[in-house]
Amino acid sequence: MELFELTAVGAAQAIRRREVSPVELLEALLRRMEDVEPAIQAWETVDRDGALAAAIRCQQELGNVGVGPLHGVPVGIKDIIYTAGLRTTSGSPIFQDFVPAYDATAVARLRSAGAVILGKTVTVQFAHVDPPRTRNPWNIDRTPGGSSSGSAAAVAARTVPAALGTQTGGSVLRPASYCGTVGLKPTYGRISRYGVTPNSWSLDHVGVLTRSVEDAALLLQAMAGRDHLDPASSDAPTADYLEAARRRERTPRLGLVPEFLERAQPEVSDHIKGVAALFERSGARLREVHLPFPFPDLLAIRSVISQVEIADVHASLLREHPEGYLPRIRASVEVGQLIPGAAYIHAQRLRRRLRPLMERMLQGVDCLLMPTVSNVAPDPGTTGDASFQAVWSLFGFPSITLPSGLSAERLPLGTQLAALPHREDNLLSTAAWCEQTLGPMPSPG
Amino acid sequence: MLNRSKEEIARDLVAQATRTWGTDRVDALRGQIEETADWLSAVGSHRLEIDGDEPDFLVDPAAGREAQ
Repeated sequence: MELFELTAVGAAQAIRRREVSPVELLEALLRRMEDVEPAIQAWETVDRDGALAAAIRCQQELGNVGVGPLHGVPVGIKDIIYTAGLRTTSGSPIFQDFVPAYDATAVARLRSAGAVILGKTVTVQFAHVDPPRTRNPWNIDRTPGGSSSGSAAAVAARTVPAALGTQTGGSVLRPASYCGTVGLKPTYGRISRYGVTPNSWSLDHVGVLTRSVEDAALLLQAMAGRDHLDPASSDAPTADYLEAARRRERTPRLGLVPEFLERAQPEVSDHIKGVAALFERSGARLREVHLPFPFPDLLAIRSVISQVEIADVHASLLREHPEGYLPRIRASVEVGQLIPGAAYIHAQRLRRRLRPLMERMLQGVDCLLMPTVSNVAPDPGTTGDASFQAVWSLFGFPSITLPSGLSAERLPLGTQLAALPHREDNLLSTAAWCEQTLGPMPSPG
Repeated sequence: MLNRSKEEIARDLVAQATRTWGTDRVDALRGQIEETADWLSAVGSHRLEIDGDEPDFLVDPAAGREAQ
């Protein structure tokens, strides 16, 4: 196995056992980047010097008592998440030279766990929807999705074992599905958003993109927990996510949501039915669970909330620097300012009233099962369809995507699971069982 | 907004956009306006009765961070 193939867990173990050094691993990833990055363009800023210094420090610290669970493991950071001393552009020329003075809490916690910050991955501008320059490692004539485009492409192309993303609609799970990686969006507030450029405050989540469920659990474990700097961060107790991801023996109870299948392209729908049948043959108990509200109206609620919030985030800056905004986010911010306040309140009231009904969908099942995206990766003029992921962003439920096969065009297909809020343990153990049942997935070239 | 058609809402948004952003911008905003009018019509089609027991989402604007 090439060093760049190592997962985060595999790398951490190999480093602790001194089978590979942090510097060797970093250098292997940088060489891999030289080979593939010109075509894929996943990285905004690669911090070679900073990462090397961190890797050398990690090497020297090996043998110390209490090295962290990510000791020496390189991680990529989506470029709307602050990294102290490292340029953070949010994808806009307005912030081309902005260097934060502090780390986002999520980044600080990764560093405390021993992670090496390799650099900043390309983000769609302000984490919205204008297409980025990044391409899909499976086919460079296809989008990697967005807005965590660079993180998904970098992990899929194996230039880094794991990367952070954010999701307001579908921006972790969609690119993860299009690029054939695992993508985890935890419960709203589970990971602090302090030091993250906001998109929509009541919808923004920090998530992770990895090549295994175990890796997603490892990163979540390092970052989860109350942060007094983010008032919306949850004070619910954290669980042992890594232990949950290793607990694969219990066959899950799954709720297949037909409204997603009805809206998916035929190839995707047929694929998920096949995945569900495989799970059932392997011992999972399956039943149909229906959405309690019309699917289009759930999306409309989220969109009204999101558009008003993003309008408020950007109104002043857009007025001062219209040239720094791409067409779609500019249009969203301008039209968002025209939405009546009463409409926003109405959407929030509907959201609050619907949440218990959505929770009731999970009665008697461990997770809900559905496609991650309605389609396979489309052309690079779009970041794709967020509708299937956005429902879980709206209600703050934890969700995960697993690569589950390839389409007829050899593009990745993803299977999505969602669980009750703060039941990431349930989500991860179910996902781990599903991952094991699906078997190994291919990689892009 | 409540019980208004998408077309009515879109007309209002076009008028507001013209006043706010100018005629030159309205053409660039038509697609977003159509989409937004669709969302607003859908949201407005769901009437909510006054309920003394309704949780106040403004206390927690995240509307999703509730005790388990």
